[in-house]
Amino acid sequence: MAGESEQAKGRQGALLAKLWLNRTTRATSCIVNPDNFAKQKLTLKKADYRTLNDVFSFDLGGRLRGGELEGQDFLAEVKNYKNSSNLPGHFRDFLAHCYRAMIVQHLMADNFFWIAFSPHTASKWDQLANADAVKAAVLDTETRGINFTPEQDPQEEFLEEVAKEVSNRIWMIVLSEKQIKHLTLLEEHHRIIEGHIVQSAGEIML
Amino acid sequence: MTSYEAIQEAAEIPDFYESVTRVKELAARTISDADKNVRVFSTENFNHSYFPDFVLRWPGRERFVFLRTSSYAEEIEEDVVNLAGKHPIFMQLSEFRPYGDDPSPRRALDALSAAARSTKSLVTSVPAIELLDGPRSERTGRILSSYVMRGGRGLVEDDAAPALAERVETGFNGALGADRAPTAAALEVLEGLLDPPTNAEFTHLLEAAWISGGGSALDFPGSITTIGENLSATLLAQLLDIVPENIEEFWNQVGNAITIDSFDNMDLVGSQPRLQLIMRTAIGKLLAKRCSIRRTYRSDQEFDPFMWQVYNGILSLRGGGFQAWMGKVPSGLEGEHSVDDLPTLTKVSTRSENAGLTLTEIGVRDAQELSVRFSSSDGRDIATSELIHRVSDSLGTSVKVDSVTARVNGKALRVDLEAGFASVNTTALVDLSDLVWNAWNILAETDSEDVRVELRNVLAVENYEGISSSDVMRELPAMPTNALDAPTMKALPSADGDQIDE
Repeated sequence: MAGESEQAKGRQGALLAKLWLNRTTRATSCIVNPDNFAKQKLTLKKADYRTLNDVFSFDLGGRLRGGELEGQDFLAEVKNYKNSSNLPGHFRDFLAHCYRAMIVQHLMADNFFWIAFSPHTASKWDQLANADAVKAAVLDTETRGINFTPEQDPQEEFLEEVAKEVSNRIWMIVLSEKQIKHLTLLEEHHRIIEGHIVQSAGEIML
Repeated sequence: MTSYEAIQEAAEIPDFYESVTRVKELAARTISDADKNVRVFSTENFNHSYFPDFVLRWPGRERFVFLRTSSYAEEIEEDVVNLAGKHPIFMQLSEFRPYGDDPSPRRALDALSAAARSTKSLVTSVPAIELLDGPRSERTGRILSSYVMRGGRGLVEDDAAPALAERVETGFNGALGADRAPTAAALEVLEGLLDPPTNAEFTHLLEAAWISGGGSALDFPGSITTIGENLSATLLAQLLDIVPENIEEFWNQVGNAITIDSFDNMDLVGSQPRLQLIMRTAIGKLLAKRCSIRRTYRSDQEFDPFMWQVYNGILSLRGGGFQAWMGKVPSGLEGEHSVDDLPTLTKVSTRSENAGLTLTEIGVRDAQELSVRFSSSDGRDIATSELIHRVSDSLGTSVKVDSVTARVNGKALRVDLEAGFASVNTTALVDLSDLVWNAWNILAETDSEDVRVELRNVLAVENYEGISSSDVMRELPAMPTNALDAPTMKALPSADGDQIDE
């Protein structure tokens, strides 16, 4: 895909993240925006919804397999940037989006994945997604329209417990293409799991 | 038909799991409708890069299906390359659209098509699969879609599917009429659409249609000519596996390519509509050498219409309380079948007369195992002769018939009533219908005229009169006129070697 636009680059990053999630074998399904199947599920209306453009969307969504995550869903934001660039601003938006997903009780909001190909604000890495950071992002004047209407008082409407829960559900993941390519299961090992999954398939009686 | 709108409706169900389940149901139903013989197994995956959504299973065969939400041919091509070794099916859930600034996805679709073809992968969509079995391909649509599920390759786009199916339908109809051009056009479509082994199977199907339509195997436009005039058991099994019974004309015509060996290793019991259709035509050409007749004891025997069956590869006809096997009775069935007690001479004479048989020899024996054989030296029927009537009147039930020789197609059919077995004495074969008609009427207690008429119909024995005069002249040496006077009776060695004096 030569001469890629920002949109194409973003799509490529989302597909790489999907590939990695699938290679972990812990994601049973993964949908990508703006595929028809994904668009409706991954797109949310802002609180201040006046036009069709007053929406935001996650890049990926899906369902997890096994262990304590069995059957849980996820929403993911993927940033395919070479360096931190303007990732801090995007991350702030992401936190506000996650808060909104929680408030509207989005059915796939069990986990929020921030997947980037570069870290940002590394000196504060351990605080980037804590409840305070979520609060700051939600109340930021730039992002306020995501969670509040102009008539609402954000300070009054803001819910600390929701911010804490958002913080708990956030996963900070930094990927590299080498990692996706080489630090995943070998094909022969992958085949064993595939065999198990195929053997476990249930017959559909129509 | 499952439209993209229906898929999208399912996709918009808010709950992710419910939504995926509904979409997979729609796709699974499409697959199942495309091939009634496939078993569809669903994994918990959806739109996964490596793990299939479905595993399709046929006896000895398996194929993965990957559902795809992407609308971009470029992305599907990457999947095709990554999963090349699995030769899977990729089923699109939405229409293709151009990527980025491209005005059309055509170039990408062509590349995708080439990649899919070379890796023996199939890229298609839920609607396209259904379009293969559309109104313009009523006879072969389902067959084609089933073959495509098993061995389809390349890209089958929605707007191309009906045309592909129509060419195959036209080709199949052409093959049935031994019409070369449409048959060749269908073969060309199939070569591009199916991987080589599957294409070979479908080619056999067209070849079967070609041969059964009266075409010569040598003239068949395809490269494979293995059917010949005699349909192999393997191909017949495939045809039975895939061609539905509602294509009656096809099955009738397949009957033209059948031999008694075409049923090797098969088991076709129960109503078997396709076998009945095959036999409707095949009965006119099948040859056989021997058959066994047994009285049957079945729970469903109260209403026992005549039906062709195959068990352990042996063709048989059941009905009217009896069953005829074109050979020995398969082992394991003895408990359900028995040979009747030996009949009296009167009974055999009556049976023969009712069925219009020509019996040239009748062997009887009494309770002391003394045997006598009556025969005509000129091939004339003796069952209704004056001699037999007189002997029958005088001996009554004290002697029973243990062997009969009937004249069938100019050959001697030896019927052993004790063994319930009839066979031609030479290495030659006779018409299966005549063999069964003779053996059945001699060995089976068929008092009802209705049953006899039914048997006559199923065997296509019209106004049976045994052997025609032309057959007699062809088969028998000229006899001196004085030798045609009367049947003769001679004493035979009895079971213990004694001889009866004349």
